Parts: sequence; C-alpha cells; structure tokens
Amino acid sequence: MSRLLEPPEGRQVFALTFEPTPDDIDENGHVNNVVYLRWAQDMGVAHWASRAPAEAQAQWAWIALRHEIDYRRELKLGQTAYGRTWVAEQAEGPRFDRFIRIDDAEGQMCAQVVTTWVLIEQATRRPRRVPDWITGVFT
Amino acid sequence: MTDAATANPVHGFISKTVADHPVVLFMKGVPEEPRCGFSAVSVQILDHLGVDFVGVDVLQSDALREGIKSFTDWPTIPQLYVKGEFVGGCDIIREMFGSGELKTLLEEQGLISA
Repeated sequence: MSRLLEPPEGRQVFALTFEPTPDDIDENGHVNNVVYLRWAQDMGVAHWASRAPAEAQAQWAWIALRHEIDYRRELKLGQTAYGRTWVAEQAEGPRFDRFIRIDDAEGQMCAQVVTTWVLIEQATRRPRRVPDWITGVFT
Repeated sequence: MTDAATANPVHGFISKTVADHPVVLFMKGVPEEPRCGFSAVSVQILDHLGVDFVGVDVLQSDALREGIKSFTDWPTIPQLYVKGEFVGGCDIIREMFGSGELKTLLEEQGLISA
C-alpha cells in the first residue's frame, strides 16, 4: 500500500483506543509490529460484536485469510493509539475486506492494515457466502 | 488484484474470462468430464439450475492452476464466478444451492428464468 487509508464518505467507522503496556514494547523501545496486528484483530472482532445480533454471532464467525500491513511511525509507552476500522463496500463471495488505520495523538498514521476475512458457519466450520444483511450491518 | 492482473498474464487471462462470460467455473477437467468430485458436484448443480456456463480446466497448466488460487486468494478448486464476481468454492455452491440462494442469485442476474 502506498496511499493512506481513509474511510469513504458515509462509511460506518468503528473506533477504539489502545494504551500500550510494557509487554507491547520491544527491544527497540517502541510498540512491536506484532502488537498492531493484534489491535487490528481486536478492532475487527469488537466491530462485529458491537453490530451483529447475538444470534448471528452464535451462528457465524470470521477467520483470517490475509493481512497486509504498513508501518509508518512509532508509538511508545505512555502514548495512546487511536484505531479506526471500516469494511469494503461489498463482500466477494465468502471474503470480506476490512481496513484498519492506527494513528498517534496527532493523527499521524502509525500503521494501517488491509485484512481479508472469510465468513464461516459455526456449526459446520465451512465457508459461506457473505449475505447482504451482514454487509448491511457494517455499512 | 488489479495490479496483479496487469502484471501476471495468467491473472490477466482470468480477469478477461470472468469479464467475457457471465458464469465461469474454474474446475478440474471439463464440464463433460470433471476430474474431481468437487468439480463434478459443482457442474451437476449448475446443470440442474439450467444456467449456461463456461468451464475452464485448470489442469491444462500449472500456471493456471496456481494462478486461480492467487487471483482470489482462495485455496481450493473449483471456483465459481458470476458476472465477474467470485461466489465461492464447492462447499459454498452446494450450500447456496441447498438454501435456494444460488437460484435466486442467478435469477436476479438474469441468467436463468424465475
């Protein structure tokens, strides 16, 4: 990715903040790259949990198919990470792309993620085509 | 995918195929003679629904067999495309057929009569 990710006009955006813990800091003295992926996953899970009805969460689940991450600026202990996430306009079969942008307090991008999730049915653990109502939950 | 399609001739072939034909099944073998059970089931379902489709035999080249997987980031074959959009593999085709969703999709796209 070369361009900064920004949600399209009118797209539902879900936001979370993160306070790095000492365990998140690596030998370089800043938040380790793996932590951003965990935050990205936390945001996707929280977004789904906040919007989908309980019965839908019991019936459906998401598994990761692909992550693509850019790292731009460091975050250190005591700083706050501001995360935003939104989904693609449409799913593609069982795949649904999600976008995550994690900024510092000044709004500068620290990391951004494009991640592809696959919808599965909990009972069978098999992939399923993303129905329109799920797209509607996020948009 | 667009960048890759431009850079990878196999992806370019796949892009053109799914753009040129409303329903495409990338499969092992050909519709008249599938060479794996999952492809055979998928063909049977499409035939049962009476939709015209193009079957592309990925076994004709290793590049195509791998290229279709990287094109969609989807690891299994067969793969069904409707009006240029990836629908899914055999599990999804079978589930959508069972629920009536596949028939509805094809009707909505004007590919079979309601």
